[in-house]
Amino acid sequence: MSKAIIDIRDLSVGFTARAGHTQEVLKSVSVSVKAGETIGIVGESGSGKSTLALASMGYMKPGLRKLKGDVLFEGQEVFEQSLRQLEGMRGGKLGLIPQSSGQALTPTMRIGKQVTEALKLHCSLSAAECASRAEELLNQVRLPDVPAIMKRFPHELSGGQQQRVAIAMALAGEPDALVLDEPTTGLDVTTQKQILELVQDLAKERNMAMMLVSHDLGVIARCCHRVAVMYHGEIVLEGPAKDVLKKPKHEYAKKLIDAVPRIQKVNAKAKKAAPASSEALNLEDVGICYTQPGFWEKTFSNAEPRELTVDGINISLGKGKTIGLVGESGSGKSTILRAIAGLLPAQKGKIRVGGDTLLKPTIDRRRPEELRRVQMIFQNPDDSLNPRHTVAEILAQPLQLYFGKTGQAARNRAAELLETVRLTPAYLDRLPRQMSGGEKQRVAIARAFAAEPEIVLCDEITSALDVSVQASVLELLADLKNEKQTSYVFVGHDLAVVQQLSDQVMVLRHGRVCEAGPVDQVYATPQSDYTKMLFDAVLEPEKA
Amino acid sequence: MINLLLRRLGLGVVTVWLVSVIIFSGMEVLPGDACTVVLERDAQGEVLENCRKNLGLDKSAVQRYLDWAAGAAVGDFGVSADGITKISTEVALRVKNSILLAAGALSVGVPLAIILGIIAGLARDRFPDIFVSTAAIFAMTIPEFVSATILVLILSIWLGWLPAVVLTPADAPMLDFWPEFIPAVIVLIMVMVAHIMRMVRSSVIEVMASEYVQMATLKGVPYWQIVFRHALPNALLPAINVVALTVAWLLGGVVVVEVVFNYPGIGRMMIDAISDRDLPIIQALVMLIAATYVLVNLVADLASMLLNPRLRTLKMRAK
Amino acid sequence: MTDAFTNRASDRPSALVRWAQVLRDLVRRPSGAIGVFLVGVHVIVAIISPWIVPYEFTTMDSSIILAAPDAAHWLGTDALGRDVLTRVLLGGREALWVCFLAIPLTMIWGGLMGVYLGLRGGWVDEVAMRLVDAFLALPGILPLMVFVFVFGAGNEVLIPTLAFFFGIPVIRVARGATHDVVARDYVLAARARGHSRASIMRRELLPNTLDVMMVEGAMRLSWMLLTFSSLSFLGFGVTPPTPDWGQMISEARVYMSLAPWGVLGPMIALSSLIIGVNLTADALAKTLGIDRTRKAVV
Repeated sequence: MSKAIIDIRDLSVGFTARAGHTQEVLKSVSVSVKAGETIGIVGESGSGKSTLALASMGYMKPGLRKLKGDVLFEGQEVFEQSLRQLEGMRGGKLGLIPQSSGQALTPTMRIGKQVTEALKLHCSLSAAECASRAEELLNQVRLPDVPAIMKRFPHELSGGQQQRVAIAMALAGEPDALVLDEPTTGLDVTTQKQILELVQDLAKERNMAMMLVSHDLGVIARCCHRVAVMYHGEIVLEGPAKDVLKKPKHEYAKKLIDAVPRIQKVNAKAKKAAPASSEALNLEDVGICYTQPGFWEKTFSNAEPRELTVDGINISLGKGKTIGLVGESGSGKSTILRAIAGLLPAQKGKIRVGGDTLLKPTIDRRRPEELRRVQMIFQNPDDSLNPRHTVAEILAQPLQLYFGKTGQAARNRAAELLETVRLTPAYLDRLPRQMSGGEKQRVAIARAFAAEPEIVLCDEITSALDVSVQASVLELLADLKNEKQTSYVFVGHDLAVVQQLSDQVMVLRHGRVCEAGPVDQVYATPQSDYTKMLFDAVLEPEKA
Repeated sequence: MINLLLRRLGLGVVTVWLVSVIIFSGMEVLPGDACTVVLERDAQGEVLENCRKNLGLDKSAVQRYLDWAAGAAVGDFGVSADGITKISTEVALRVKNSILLAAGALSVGVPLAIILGIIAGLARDRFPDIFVSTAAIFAMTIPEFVSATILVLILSIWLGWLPAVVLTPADAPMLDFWPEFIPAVIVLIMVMVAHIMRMVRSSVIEVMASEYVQMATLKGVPYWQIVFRHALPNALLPAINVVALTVAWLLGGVVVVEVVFNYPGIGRMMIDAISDRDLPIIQALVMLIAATYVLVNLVADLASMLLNPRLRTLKMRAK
Repeated sequence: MTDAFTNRASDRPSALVRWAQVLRDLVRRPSGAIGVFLVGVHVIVAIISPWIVPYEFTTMDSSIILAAPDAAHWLGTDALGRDVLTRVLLGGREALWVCFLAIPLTMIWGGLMGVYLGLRGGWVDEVAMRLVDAFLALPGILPLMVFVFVFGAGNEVLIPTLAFFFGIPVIRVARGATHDVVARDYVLAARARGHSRASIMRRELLPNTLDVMMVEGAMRLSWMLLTFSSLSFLGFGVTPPTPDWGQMISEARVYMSLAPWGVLGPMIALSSLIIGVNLTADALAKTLGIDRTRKAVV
C-alpha cells in the first residue's frame, strides 16, 4: 500500500466566537488520499468542506485557527513549515483549482502573465522556456487559439475557459496532488462535464492525488474513488465511492443521497395525456429583446432594429399544469418569465391569461386584476425578501394591494398562508435574517400564493437551496398545485427537478426553442442533438 | 470606446453650459448691477442710463448672455466692474499662482497619501494603521484656518523660520513665492492626504481580502509579489477619481487657506470680488473653476478607462 | 388561528429596537464613545451656557485688553477686553443651532430627490443629474458667500441656503444607494405585483437606504459645521457682537503673537466639536457596515 500524499489526522479548526468561547468549524477530521486516487468531500453549505480543503494547503481564512491535529503533505506537517517552504509547496507539488475562477484570476493581469508567473515560481526555466511551457500547458487544458488567449484579460474569457486557465496554473508546478474546491459550481452542465473529464484525464496521466470538494453528489460520483460525507464539521461517513453512494450506512448520508433528484425512466407512450383542461396561459409567437434601449439610445441613436434575445415562443398551458423551461445560462429562459410577468416588454407576439385576457406588455399598463393572476417566485430568497420587513409585513403587501386587507385581517390571513407552506404562525414576526434558506423560500412562495394567482412563475427557485431542502420545497409546490389548481411556469437547469414537477417541457438554446413537448416524450426520446447532449451531461450518484 | 469618449465629452460641455446659465441667471436675479455698484449713490437718472448704455446693460438678458458666453468661450470675459481692468489678464495671473500652490501640494501629497494608505491597509488594525488612521481623522476634521493658525504660531511666531503671511505681489515671478508658500502647502497637504489615504486604505483592504489574492497566495506567490503585482494595480484604480477631485478642489480656489496666508490666488480674488460686488469677475471665476472641475474629472475617467482592462472592453456593463 | 402570535400588534417596534441596538453598539466602540461624548458635551454646554457664563458676552473693559489668563478671566480677555471664556462657551450655539436644523432638511430634500430619481430613471433622471453635475462644479463655498453677502447672515438665509447646497451631493449618494437596492429581487417583486412608485419608495427603498443616509447625514453634519465656521472666519457668518468660534479665531489671530490664548480657546472648542461629529459618523458607518471612505468625496 502506497503512502498517503495528503494525510489529515484528527484536525480541529475553530474561531473565537466571543471572549473565551471557541466555535469549532472542523471537529476531529481525519482523511487521507494516495497517489492516483481521488477522494470526494461532500456536504451541504456550512458543513466545513471548503475549510478542510484550504487547511490541507496550510491556509485558513482570517480568524480561523488550528485547534489540534496534523495536516501532513508528503510526510511534512504543513502548519509547521516556514513561509518560504509553504510558498514552494503551494502551486508547486500541491495545486489548487478554486471555486470560481472568474474571481480567482487577477483582473489586471493578462492570462499569459498569470500562467507564466506560476511557472517562474516553481520551475527553474528561462523566460523564453516559461513562455513556451505556458503555451503548452494552455494547450493541454484544451483551450482554443492559445496565443490569443494568453494576451487576454480574465473577464474576456467564458466561465469554462477561466476554469481551464486555473487548471493550467495548477499544473504549472508538476503537482503530486490537486485540491479542487467546488471546481464546476456555476458552470453549465455540458461545460461541467468537459472540465471534469479533463481533470480526470490529467490526474490519470500524472498519477496525481486529488481531493475534490463539492456539494453535488453527481460530480463526486463521476470522479471519486472514495467519498467522505461531511455534516456540521464532522466526517460522518467515509469509504469507497460505491459503498457510500449505493448503501450509505449513516442516517444523514442516506438522507442526503436520497434527496438528490434523479431523472425517472419513463416510457413515452406509457401515460396517455391527461384530459385537456381549460387553458390558463397562452403565448403566441412571442419575441423579446433583453437589453432595453436607454434614454440616450432612444433619443439620439438611429433606431437600428435590435436582434431579439428570445424569439418564436409558443406556449399553451392548461389549468393546474406545469411547463418546465430548460436550458443553459444565456438560453433566455428567465427572459421569458420576465416578459410574462410584464417586467420586460414583449416586442412581438401575444400573451394571454385565462384563455381570453390579453396581457399588456408591461406592468404599468396592466390592470391590478391582471397583475394578481400572475405571480412570480425568485431564485434567491435572500434577495427577494425585503430584509427590513417582518414576515407579516411581507405577506401583508399583496393582501393589501389586491384585496384591501389590512391590520388584523391581513395578519390572520398571513398566518393561514404560513400554514399552507407548512410554517407556523410563530414566523410572523421574524425578519428574513432570522430564518434558514428553505424557510425564506417558503415565505416567498406564501407571498406569491397570497394573491391567489392562476399562474405562478418559478425562476430557478430551488437552485440556491441545499438538496435536502430542495426536495421538501418541490414537494410543497406539487401539493399546492394540486390543492389550488395553479399553473406553473418552472424555469430550471436541473433536468431531474424539472421532470419531477412538469407536464410539458421546452428546451431552449440561445433564445430559440430547441425542442418542446410532453415531458415523458422529451425525456424518453429526445429528438434534437442538443437535448441529447444535455441528458448525456447529467451526473447522478448512481453513475459511479 | 470612441462613442463613450464622445459621450463623456458631450456631457462635460453640457455641464459647463448649465453652469453658465445658472451663474448668469443667478447674477441677474441678484439686486443691483455693475453700474449701481460703480456709481453707488450717483446711480440714478441719466447717469445710470448712460453707464448702462456704455456697458451694454440696456440690452435684453438673453442678448447679454449670448454676448458674454461668446466671449467666455474664447477666454475673453470682458472688463471688470471698474470698467478698466481686463479680466482675462488679471485672472491669468491668479490662475498661475493657484497652479503653483496646487502643484506644490500635489507633488508631495499624492505620493505620501498613497504610501500611507498602502501601509495602513496592509497593516489593518495594527499599530501603523491605527496611528495613521487616527492622524487622518484629525487632519481632515480640523478646520483649515485652525491648522493654519497653529502652523503660523509655531513656524512664524515661536520659531521665526518663515513669514506669517505671503507678501509677494500677485504678478511676481513664481520663484519669489519660495519659501513663503510652504505653510500654505503644508495645510493643504494635511487635508488632501487624509482623504486620499483613507480611500486607498479601504481599497487595499478590500483587494487583499479578494479571492484572487487568496488564489495567488495558494499559488505560492511570495507576499510582496502579491502586493505589488496582484493587489496594488487593482487597489489603486479607484484612487484616480479621488485624486481628480482633489486636483479640482485645489484648482478651484482654496479660499480659506489663501485668505489666512494672504496668498494671491483664485480664492482670494473670489472673496475680493464678492466684497467689491464685481459681478463680471465672479462670473469669470465660476466658469473657469467649473470648466476645470469638468475637465479634471473627464481626464480621470479616461485614465481609469485606459488603466482598467475591465472598463477598457466594457464587458462589465453587459453583466 | 387565534393564538398568541397571530394577535400580536402588527405595528411593530422593530425599527426602533434596531436603532437602539445600533446606538448601543456605537458607544461600545472607542471612537463612537469618544465622539458621542464630545458631541454630548457641546450640546449640553450650548443649551445651558447662557446661565453659566461668568460675564456678559458684550461686557468690554478697556483696562484689561488682551490680558493673560488669571483667576478672574480663566482664558484671558480679547482685544476689546471681553472675557474669552464667556465667548467660547457661547460661541458654538449659533453653529449647532443652524447646522442641527439644516441637516435634517438637507437629508430630506437630497435623500427623497435621490431616491426618486434612482427609481424613476429615464429623461427626468438624466436632466436632473446634469443639473446636479452643474451645481457640483460650482466652487464649494462661493454660492454661500454670495447669498450671505446679498441677503445677510440671518438664520432664515443660512439654514435654507446650507440645506440646499449640501443637499446636492446627497442626491447623488442617495441615487447611488437606490440603484443598489433597485437591482434587488424584492424591488423587482414589488414592481411585478404592481405596487405604485410611491409605495415602492416608502416600503422598499427608503427603509433600505436609511442606513447609508444616516451615515451620510452624520458626515455632512461635520462638513456643514466646518463650512459654517469657515464662513464665519471669512466674515460671512454670524453678525457681531454675537460670539462665534470662527469669527473669534479670525479676530484673535491678529494679536496672536501678543495673546496666543485668544485663539487657543475657540480653536480647541471648534475642533473638538467637529472631531466628535466625525468620530461618531465613522463609528456609525462601521456599526452599520457601510464603508464611507470608498465613496469619493463630492
